[in-house]
Amino acid sequence: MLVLGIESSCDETGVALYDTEHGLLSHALHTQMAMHAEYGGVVPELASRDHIRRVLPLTRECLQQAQKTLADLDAIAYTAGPGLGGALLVGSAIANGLAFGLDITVIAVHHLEGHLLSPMLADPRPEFPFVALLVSGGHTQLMAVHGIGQYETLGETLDDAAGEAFDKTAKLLGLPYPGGPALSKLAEQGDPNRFSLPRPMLKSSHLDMSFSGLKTAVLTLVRQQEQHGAIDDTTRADICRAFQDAVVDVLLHKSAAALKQSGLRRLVVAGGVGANRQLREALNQFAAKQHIDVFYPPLSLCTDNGAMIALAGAMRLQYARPAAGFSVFPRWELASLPRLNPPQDAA
Amino acid sequence: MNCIVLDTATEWVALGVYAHGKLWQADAHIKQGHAEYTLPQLRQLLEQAKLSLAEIEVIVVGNGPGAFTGLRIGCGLAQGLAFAHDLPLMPVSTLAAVAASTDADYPLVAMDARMGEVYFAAYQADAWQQPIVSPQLITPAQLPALPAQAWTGCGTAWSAYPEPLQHALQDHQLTISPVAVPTSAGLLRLALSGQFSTVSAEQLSLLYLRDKVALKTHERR
Repeated sequence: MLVLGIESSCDETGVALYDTEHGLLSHALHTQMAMHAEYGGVVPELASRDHIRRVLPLTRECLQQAQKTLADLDAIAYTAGPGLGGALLVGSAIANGLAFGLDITVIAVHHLEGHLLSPMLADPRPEFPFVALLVSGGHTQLMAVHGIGQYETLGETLDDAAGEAFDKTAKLLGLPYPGGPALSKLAEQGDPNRFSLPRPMLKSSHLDMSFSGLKTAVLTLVRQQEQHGAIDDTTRADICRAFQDAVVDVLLHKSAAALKQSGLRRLVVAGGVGANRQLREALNQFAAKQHIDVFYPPLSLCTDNGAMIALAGAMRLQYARPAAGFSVFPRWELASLPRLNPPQDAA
Repeated sequence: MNCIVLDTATEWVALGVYAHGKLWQADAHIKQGHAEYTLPQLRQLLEQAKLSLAEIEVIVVGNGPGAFTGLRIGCGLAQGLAFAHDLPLMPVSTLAAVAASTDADYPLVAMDARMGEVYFAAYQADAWQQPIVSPQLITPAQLPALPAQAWTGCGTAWSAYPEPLQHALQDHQLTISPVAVPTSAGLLRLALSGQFSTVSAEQLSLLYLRDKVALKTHERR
């Protein structure tokens, strides 16, 4: 079965073709980062205006790459939430219009389920069950994943997402938007021993996290340092290092605690922050020591993309329905998704 | 010419299927329900008209200006439908569609654009591609100079901003039409005028008129 996936929940337009037999055939992505940079953050209306210009050209590109035609499609998966309402509506409208026109079915996909399943686009792929660390600019949560649609939230951030903390801290340090990746790059040159920032909720018994206090701690540190004059590049890099160390430490400890609490031996890391090199090193070291298997999506599929939506749609073909009236869900609990029975249980 | 007509830039959906010289329509006041409403109704209209999508020759779509999110739902649906069958799209201005939904000789379209502004255009009926005043975003107090005609006001702004609009036009002969939004019949009238050209689904561009939607970082300082 050939599934077209369309992602338009935030500032990336992604389209992909996934074949249930042959895997990912093609994917194409347009990032709006440069457009939003002038505004210092994502402007929802501009995001929507761009999505509607991009979806069809990206679709054509995907079909050409995979040497397929629209007539080969069996279903269209699209992100129905969570995300920016207006942006979600663009992908949803085009997906439903196209599926109606082709007389094929649609699948409304949960954006986070896409991220959660995206390590299945890598080789080797994780088997169920596993603990998932979903960490991006919009989300930070730990889940026990027993199967598709069997998601148990173990812990989550109570305020900012980790990626959001990266971007806000970068802004504080005068780094250009989106500052997260720039902050990480600077941190690599920083001295890990010069500053130490708090690790919020590290010692708590639950698996929830908090990152907004860390941002405030950076602000206090910056003010302190500014008393000795403008912050130079070395100090800025050292602060970045202290910040990144703190975030990585929290994510590592909470992931370790989640594995221990759930008794699971596999960890899946997904979302934009999952591409962070220092985080990957820390998790890999921990995993090697504890004999845990850790899985990541391919680096190019860590940020939002159409491939994970096509994949999640392909997994949920049993929920496909004819193109008709549709709704989007800017807020949508992952745990509310229906469970999917694996084929061996179906009988 | 078998066609689908669709406009979702207002609180209404204007939706029709035109086949064999007859218009089947499902215009409705749905407020924010454009996404839920449109495709199921289109399916019914096609059934009533005993027409398959493959027999459609063109999709006529209102490309604004209007409510941004609603506008994109109709344009996105039209893009998807057209892309599926490699059908041409015929974009028509939502303001021209309101004008063509009246039987006025000189329709004066003013649509509530919120934030104290209106989308404004003036037409001579049946010269849709040569508006007397091209679509623009203005405050009711800033109406451009108009030639002396027996104007017919139409659109949502005549009830949203009655006083400033009528005051601005006090030297003109003015009748207010009850027509406030585009109808499928109005869209069809534009399509049948032969004055509008078609584009591919990928080439469809939307007319927002309000282009300043956020401040850039340097503008906020």
